[in-house]
Amino acid sequence: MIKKILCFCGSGLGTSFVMEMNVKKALKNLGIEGVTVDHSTIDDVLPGAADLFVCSADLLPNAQKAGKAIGLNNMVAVKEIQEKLKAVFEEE
Amino acid sequence: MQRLCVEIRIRNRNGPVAGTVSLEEQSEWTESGFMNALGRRNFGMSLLKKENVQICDTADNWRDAIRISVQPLEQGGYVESCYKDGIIENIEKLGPYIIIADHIALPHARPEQGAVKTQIGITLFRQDIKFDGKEATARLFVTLAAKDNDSHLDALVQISELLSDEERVEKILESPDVQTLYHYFERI
Repeated sequence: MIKKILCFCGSGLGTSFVMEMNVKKALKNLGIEGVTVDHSTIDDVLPGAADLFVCSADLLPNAQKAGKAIGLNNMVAVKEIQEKLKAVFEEE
Repeated sequence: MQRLCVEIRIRNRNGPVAGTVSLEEQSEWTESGFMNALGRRNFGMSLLKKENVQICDTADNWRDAIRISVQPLEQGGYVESCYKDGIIENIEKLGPYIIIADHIALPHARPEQGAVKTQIGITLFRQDIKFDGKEATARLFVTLAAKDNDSHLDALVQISELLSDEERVEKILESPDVQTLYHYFERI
């Protein structure tokens, strides 16, 4: 079960926050509730830190070492995030 | 000493009251303190200053583009001269995670890497800037200086909203002059 999503980028205050906002929007659109979403730096990406990590496509290999992860090319549009989240939640 | 308590109402153009700010809340009434109080509450007052908006033809490479995009913030004293190096180092270490969508980069580094005051700068390049190891290129650089972890979040919410519409992004990229470019962002 995915209960905690952690969005991260290199600095933990720009890109990761934009992703957090849009992950929240996407979850709402998908009607998924009871998931906490947070943003942080790559230093906090450790196994067990979250059930799902979300990052830019470049950082995906780093995230996959820590667990299940989604890499994004477009972080400002909800569309890509929503499609990728839907696929992950359907797998569950 | 009697305390003066004044409430200022901020109206959007021809619109309803967008919010209020109480003068009592500010201990020191400097212009910047007042503007910060307004900005924090997201009353549609602009964080972005027109002098921090620029249009450039091109840059020698992505590092040069980052330096150009940070320049107005450095000149205005919003960041220290080491800030641009911090951004470049982060990208060298982790890849171009600042490209938040095709055509759009959000250069930023940590507050401790040399951000003095929270501010944004907008740089539009006429030619695509290529980053190592990434297919996507960037032309619109929204450069962010954040002095702490949260003072810039209101602005980011608005920037993200603005740039989530691909058709609007296309129009922004075709801005013929600085005034037009500024106009798209002036509510941020």
